[in-house]
Order: sequence, then C-alpha cells, then structure tokens
Amino acid sequence: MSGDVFETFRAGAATLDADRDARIRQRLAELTRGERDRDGASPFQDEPVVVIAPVRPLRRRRTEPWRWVAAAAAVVTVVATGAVVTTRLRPEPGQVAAGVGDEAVGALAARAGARPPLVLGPGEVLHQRWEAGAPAGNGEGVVTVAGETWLAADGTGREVRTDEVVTSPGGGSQVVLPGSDVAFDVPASLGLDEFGIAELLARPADRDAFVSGLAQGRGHGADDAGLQFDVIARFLTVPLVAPELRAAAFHALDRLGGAPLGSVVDRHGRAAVGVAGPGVGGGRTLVVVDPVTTEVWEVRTGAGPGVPTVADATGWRVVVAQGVTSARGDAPAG
Amino acid sequence: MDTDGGLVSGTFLTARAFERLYLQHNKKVFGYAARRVGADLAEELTAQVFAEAWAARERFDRSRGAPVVWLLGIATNLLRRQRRSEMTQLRAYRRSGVDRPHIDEEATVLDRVVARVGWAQVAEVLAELPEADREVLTLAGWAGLSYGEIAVVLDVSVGTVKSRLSRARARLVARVGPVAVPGVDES
Repeated sequence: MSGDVFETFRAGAATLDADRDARIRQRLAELTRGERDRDGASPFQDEPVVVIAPVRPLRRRRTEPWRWVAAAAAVVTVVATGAVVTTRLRPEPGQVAAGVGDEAVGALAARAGARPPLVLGPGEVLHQRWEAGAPAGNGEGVVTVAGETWLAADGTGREVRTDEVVTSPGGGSQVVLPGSDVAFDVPASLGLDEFGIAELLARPADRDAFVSGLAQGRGHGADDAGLQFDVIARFLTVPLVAPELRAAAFHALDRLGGAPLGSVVDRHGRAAVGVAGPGVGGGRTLVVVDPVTTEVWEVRTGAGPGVPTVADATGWRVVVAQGVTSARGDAPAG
Repeated sequence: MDTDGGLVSGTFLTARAFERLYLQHNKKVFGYAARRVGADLAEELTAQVFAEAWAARERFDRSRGAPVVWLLGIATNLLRRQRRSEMTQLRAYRRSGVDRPHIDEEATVLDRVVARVGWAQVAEVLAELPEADREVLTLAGWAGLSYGEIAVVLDVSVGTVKSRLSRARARLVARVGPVAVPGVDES
C-alpha cells in the first residue's frame, strides 16, 4: 500500500512544469466545455473565436480613410483624403493640474446625452488603440498589455493584443500571457464583463434594462461602489454606446460619489477633466474625460486614499487613439 | 474577446480573463495541493479547482478576499474529499522515514521545517492532527494565508483560526522545536 504511494510521490516531480501545466489546462478545458461566457468561449478553448494569425507585434497602417471620434473633435470628422489625424500628446504625462474647469458630473451626463450618436456606415468599424496595466497576481510588479480593437455596430470585430508582461520591482520582466490576434464573429463583451457593450449594441431590449439598472444601482458589484464605479467608467471608454446610455453611466458615476477634479492630463499628457470616485478594494479611481466629447480616455486606479497619479497607479486603461475605419485591421499612423 | 479582461477591475467573467486568473494562481493552487496530496493527484485537483471557480465565477465576492483566497477555499473543500488519500500518504511517510520529493514552488514555512527536521516527523504531526487543525496549519504554513484569509477559506471566525493554529503549532513545536509562521504568528 505505502509503496505505491511513495512511488507516486517520488516518480512525479512535484513541480508545475510545462507538461503538468499543459495537462491541467487540457483537463480544465474538458471540465468547462459546457460552461461558456457571454462571448461563447470557455477557458483554454478557442471556439467560437477564430484565430486569424499567430502572435505578432502591433503594426499600424494607413491604407484606409480614417474618421476620428476622439481627442477634441466636436463632431466626427471624415478624413477623405487618406491623411491621418493623430492625437497630439503632451510631453509630461500623468500630472494632475490645478483645479480649473470644475464641472459637476451631472453636467457631463447632460452633455453626453446631448451628443449625436456615433453611427457607423456600412462596413465601418470603430478602432481603438489602448494600453492597460494592473498589479501582478503575486503582489509584486505590474502587468502591462497593449492592443487594438476593431468593433462593428453588430458587436463583431477583431482584437490584437501584445504579450502580457510582468515587470518586477527590480526591473526584470516576464511574459505571462502571449499576445494574440483574434476575430470574433459573435457579440463580444469587450472585457466589460458586467455589461457587455456589444450585446447592448446587438440587443436593443437590453439597453432599457441597462439604463434602468444603472439608475437603480443594480448589476454585478452593486454592493461594491468601487467596483461599480470602475466598471461603469470603463464602459464609457467605448464611444459606440448610445448617448442615452452614456448619460446614464455618468449619472451613475455621480450617484456613486464621483467628484469633479477640474483639469487633469491623462497618461499620455492629453488635457482633459477628471472625475474622482471610489476604487476597487478601498482605493480611488480617476476617470479622465474629454470635456468636449465626454469620451473617457483613461480609467486609473490606485490603492491609496488620494487621487491616483501615474506614478502611484495600481491599474489603468487608457484609450490612446480611436477612430472609424472601413477595415478590421487598419489603424492610424503616428 | 475582451479588451482588458478584468485586468483593471480584477473580474474574470470572460474566458480570457479567467485564463489570466489561472496563469496568476496556478502554481499557488498546485503547490498547496501537491504538498497535501502529492503532485499527481494535485494535477487533477488543480484542474477541478479552476473548473469549479469558472462555474461559480459570477458568485465570486471580492469583499471576502482576493481571488487566490477564494481558489484556495475551493481547493480546501476538494481536499476534504481526498482525506483518505492524504492520510494514507502521511502515515506512509511517517512509517518509512523517507523524505518527500522536493516541491519546486516557492519555499514555505512548513517546507523550511521539513528541511530542518525531515518530512517523516512533520508528516507524523500532520497525520495526528484533527482535520480542522491540519487545514489551518497547512493554509498558514504552506499557502501562506493570514488569519483573516484562513477564516474566509474555512468560513469560520478569526478567533477559531487562532485557536486551531495555536493548537496545531503546539503539536508541531512539541515534535520538532520552535516554529514561527510569519504573518500569522510572529512568535
């Protein structure tokens, strides 16, 4: 009896090496096959997502007309000539400026609701180039990733992600999740797990429920103001969302304790206005908003009681550039 | 597909975000399970832990602790079903005096005790402990959880954790000498 046990222990190296890890992932895929997320995917299985290409670094091209919806554009601008407009980035990122331009969060809601909806033409897609970071799972270092997303009005699209890299406090780095290039032919959640923007786009009936839920404080994390604030702020980073939903989302930030900060600059130095609110885990969240378009450029989280700066942020998601293009693969130069 | 897959909020409701959760915590879960029931059984158990977590992902309550605490709670529940296997292995080690193979994850408090006095003595103490006390000792000594985290995992009060750990540690100290569990017991 005991001999068999010892053999089991001694024969197998008790290390989670690549072989063991692969077997666990395979077994996990088997066990979870019948339990899919809202995108129709389950862990370590590709279906129904179609892999277009193996991992490749981000590459930007300027082969298609480009219509910007970001930055200071008050209206969507069609760049019919093929020339590419880029968002001008200021050189000193992340500093929170003195409080000028204070504006109640409710005013942002009113402005968002009054904006004309972003309507994509036939074959057009919204493109976003983004960056994100978060604490490493072991509590030491930070995980960073960047990517590009092309999203059609029906919720289908494509996403390219770089490798996910953990950088330790000592400066070393390690890839923890390889980059990817995937197309999704079903409405995807865009990582906004609780709401699923693409599903909202695809199912108008859900929009009413969403607005109602925001007004009443329902939804995932409803008992956690920090989580709700964070999720709703990220929801606002996608301008395809209809104006009435964006207005409802700003009202929700207000209801959750969002306070105007006045002028701020985002991680890339773009001038904007800030809204500070509760953060996940008791920290604070900074929402960086374009005061003209009410687009949210950055959601920055911190662990401390103060408004997080770039230096002390524990997590962030920043939309570096965005616009409308006619192909799922084009991005602006510069 | 997801744009940041819960990277900021820490949620993991999509498959992609959940894969990240796995990559962040698989070694911790496997290492804990392997120390208790051996690597081969731990392999299956780790898959089951994450499968149960995936099935219950919408019920994860952030206010009750970090995801790893939640995962170790699932692991602890699953390990209770493996009690016979665990006890068989512990008794076998105790009788034979053969050292357990090195577990090549990050060294834990109990690993250092094992390195000092030998696995047979530690196995003997663990085998003699009531299951509730063994769970507390291994969660503190192998998983490195705090009083509060262990309380969440076992769904008991912090006071209960303290008393169980004190009892378990006393048994261990009586056998192998002084044992400190940093972060839990600074003595």
